[in-house]
Amino acid sequence: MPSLPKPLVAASIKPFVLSVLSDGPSYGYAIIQRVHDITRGQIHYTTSTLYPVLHSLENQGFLTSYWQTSVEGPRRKYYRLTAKGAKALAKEKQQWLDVHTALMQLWGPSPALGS
Amino acid sequence: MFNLDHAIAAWRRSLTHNAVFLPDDCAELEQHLRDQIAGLMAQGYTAEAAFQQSISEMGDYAHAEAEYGKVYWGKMTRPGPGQHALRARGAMLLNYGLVALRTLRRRLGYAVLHLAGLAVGLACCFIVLLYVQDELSYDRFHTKADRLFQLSQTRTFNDQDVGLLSMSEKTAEGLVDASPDVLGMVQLESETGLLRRPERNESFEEDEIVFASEGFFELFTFPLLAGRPADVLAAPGQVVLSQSIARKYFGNADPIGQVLLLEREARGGSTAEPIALTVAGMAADAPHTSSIQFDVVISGSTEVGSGDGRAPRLQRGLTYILIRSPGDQEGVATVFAEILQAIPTSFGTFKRAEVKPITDLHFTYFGERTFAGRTQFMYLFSIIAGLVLLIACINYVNLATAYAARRAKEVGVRKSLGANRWQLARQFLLETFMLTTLAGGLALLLVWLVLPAFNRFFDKAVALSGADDVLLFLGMAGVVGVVGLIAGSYPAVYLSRFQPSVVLKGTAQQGSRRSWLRQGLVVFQFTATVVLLMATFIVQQQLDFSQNRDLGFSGDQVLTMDLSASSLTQQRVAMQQTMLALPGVEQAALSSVVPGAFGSIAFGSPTDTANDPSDDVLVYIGQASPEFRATYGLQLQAGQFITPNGDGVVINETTGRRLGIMTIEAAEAVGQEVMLGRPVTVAGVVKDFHFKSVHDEIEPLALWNMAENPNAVTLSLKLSGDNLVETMEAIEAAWAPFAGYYPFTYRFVDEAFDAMYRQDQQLGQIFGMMSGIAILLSCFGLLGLIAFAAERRMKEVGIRKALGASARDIVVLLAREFALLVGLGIALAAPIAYVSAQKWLEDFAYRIDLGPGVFLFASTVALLIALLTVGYQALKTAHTNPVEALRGA
Repeated sequence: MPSLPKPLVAASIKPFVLSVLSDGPSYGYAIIQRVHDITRGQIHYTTSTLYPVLHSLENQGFLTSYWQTSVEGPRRKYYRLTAKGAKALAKEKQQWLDVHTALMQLWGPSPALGS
Repeated sequence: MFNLDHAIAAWRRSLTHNAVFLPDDCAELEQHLRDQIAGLMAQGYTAEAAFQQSISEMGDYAHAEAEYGKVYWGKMTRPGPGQHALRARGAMLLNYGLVALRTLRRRLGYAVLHLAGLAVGLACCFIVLLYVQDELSYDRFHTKADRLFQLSQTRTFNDQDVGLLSMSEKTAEGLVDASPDVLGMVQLESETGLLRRPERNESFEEDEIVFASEGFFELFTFPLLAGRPADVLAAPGQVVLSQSIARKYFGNADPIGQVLLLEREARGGSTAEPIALTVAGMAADAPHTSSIQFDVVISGSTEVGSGDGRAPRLQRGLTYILIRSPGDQEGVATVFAEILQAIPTSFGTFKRAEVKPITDLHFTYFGERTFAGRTQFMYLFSIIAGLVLLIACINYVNLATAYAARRAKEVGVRKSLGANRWQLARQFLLETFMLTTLAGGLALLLVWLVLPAFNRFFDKAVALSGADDVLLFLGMAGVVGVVGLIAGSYPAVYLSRFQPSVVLKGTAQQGSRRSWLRQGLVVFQFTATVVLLMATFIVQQQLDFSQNRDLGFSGDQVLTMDLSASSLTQQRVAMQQTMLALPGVEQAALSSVVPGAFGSIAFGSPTDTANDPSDDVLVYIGQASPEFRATYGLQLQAGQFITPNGDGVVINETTGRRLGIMTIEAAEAVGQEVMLGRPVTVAGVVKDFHFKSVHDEIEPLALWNMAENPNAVTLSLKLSGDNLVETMEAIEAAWAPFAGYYPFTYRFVDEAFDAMYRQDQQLGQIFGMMSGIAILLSCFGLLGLIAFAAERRMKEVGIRKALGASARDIVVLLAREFALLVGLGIALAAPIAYVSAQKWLEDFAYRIDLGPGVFLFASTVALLIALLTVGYQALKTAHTNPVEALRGA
């Protein structure tokens, strides 16, 4: 699959990160992998894109972080969605759905797209 | 073999050096990298390939740095590890500061001297900054400064270039008509005169009376406090007073519409009737940074003279133009040159036309050296201050590295606790910056204290008012920063290089090695110091030479009084007789010229008998009464001096030589006829004497008998010098009946001549002061170095003494090395000083010959002072009890 254009990747990173974390705490490498899988490779964040965003979301209070040592060994930095983050996610969700609905109205019944 | 852990460690180092990657971030990224590598290796990659692939996927470093940079402050300020890191950094800074203070306190004496040295060096630099800034600000206050130019020309007269500033109104107007780029033109001429209010019987002599064309206040930015720029000089008889002059004559009353009488013009002709002037405006006093100074500005159309001779006063003068844009300067100069070439004139041949920016006038004035020397003076001053500052910096570098061994343990401990080299270098650099900033503050205080004396010394009005001069303070801060960097860099690099394993064992003798750099710096320091010292002696010698040179006349106890006001001129002979009769007055002479007073000397345009104008010789001409010779002690070489009824001319030797009428004997010239405007016979030849500036060569001069109706007259009185106060009182009393309300003003010829040496004296004093400071600083540096060397070799000295070495042996042992360095410095200084001095002396028409004497003397002085410094410390060490030296470990 070809990757998506940069502006779209940049615009969608916040909802992606918040949504992945809404399933439960996770760490950077896992987030990248999850988004990669879910988009079938269309979105693959580099470290210098993802981590600053995670830190920025944490600065804004949407996430908290903690170091956790797993059973098998390595210490990883986990990020967890806060209540404030959940609210932000809901808002993001609504906005993306609005855009989606609007676009669908234009495209849905259109014969031009149908053919 | 590829080692994954080494590769990751190397990658990690690239991050930890950058402040935007917090330790927490580094750990997080490292784990990310490890996860990714593990994932790839699970897919069958080799460790090396997996590492390379993962690194490349992480994106480029600059991008990461930029992105992390954006969230850096947010991380630092939110509660959590960021804040800890920030606090830790703050604590570290505090620790650096505390350690720096402790180090300083432990060696308080040296710390104070260090600080004082840097402060003095910086203060010198600050003063130079202020001085240069003030010099460069001249004439820049005009809002049209970039478009204002002064016109002048250079003409060649018998192979001699003569600069002419003054030009006729017609020529100037010709340029305005010929060039569309010239938007405005103003002419002005300055003079001195007496002003009084008609209803009062008291007049004041004003030095800065300016006759100016109408546009004066429109072209130049001299704000008017009353009156409109276009009107105030529009009609004849109008006058604008400066605020302080208005207050002098009218107090706080409104001066507008009031009348003032101009009683006399000292130069260029007398006025029969006082000129009535109506005050039309009042201007703010001209700033001290203006080349055009005025107290009283009179409209140039004001008529002077009497009867048929009445004419507007301003017929010629200094000429200033306003052009359309600064780029038009060359075009205007070309047109101007064409106009000048077209004018028929008998005065030499045209050489070039000059259109000079008004902002350059301060530096490029014709004639007097005081103006021409300004740029040179400014450069010299800057270089000297820079040298002093450099010497202070070198002291710091030398001592900081010499004493490095004392801080080796600290470096060792810090390094073993995890500090890296860069952090340590930063610490030491910070220490230097703390010290230089402190020194900068002290320097500012010093400048503030010294400034009044400085201003008095240089006739300046430089002020340390930061409010309106941000740039200046930024400049000062810049100097402090640069000094910190220069003084701090090398010690920081040097100190941070220590290996903890070596220094902590205590076996290292850090700093004991001979440091080539340190030795080189000592040599440089002494070279600079000795150059300054030699310069001081040379300037002083030249000064003594010019001041004690035979000027060809004696101005000792000769007093001159200006009698050029018409009523005084008419009574001149009676006044001369009355004054001569006073006890204490030995001679009294009337003349139109006096030695040192330039204004009274007219330009002559004489020719010898041939008619080729290029053979013309420029001769200064003047009139004098027979007593002139005795009053000034002139030496007659041949013939006779001016006699009451003789109509012959008396020339100086230079005139005779230039006109080719005498070759060996002065007597050859006597009786010969020459053309000096009209044919005249040479009656006598006087020995050359300095009637102009002492810096210039003596020019041709011709003196006539005092004419029936002279224009300008000066009465010179030779006093016996006894009971000077009573004599002066008697002269003033004798003056009063003749003078009416003219104030009693006089000057001593000696004083006028002393004023000509002023700038050289200033230079001499600056060199003296600066070389004194430089020697002091250099010796202090030397003292620190030898004290350190002595301390380090305490045990060696103890053993040597125990084995029978004498105190002298020890002194020689310690002092030899430093004496050599100082000697080398001196050897390097001599040629530098010689070449620079030759260049400086070129400006003098009469100069000393540079012999080896000055250099030997300065070298000896420097060597003696250095040896005394070194010897004192060496002797102290040599006399310590060897038992104590060996026991104390």
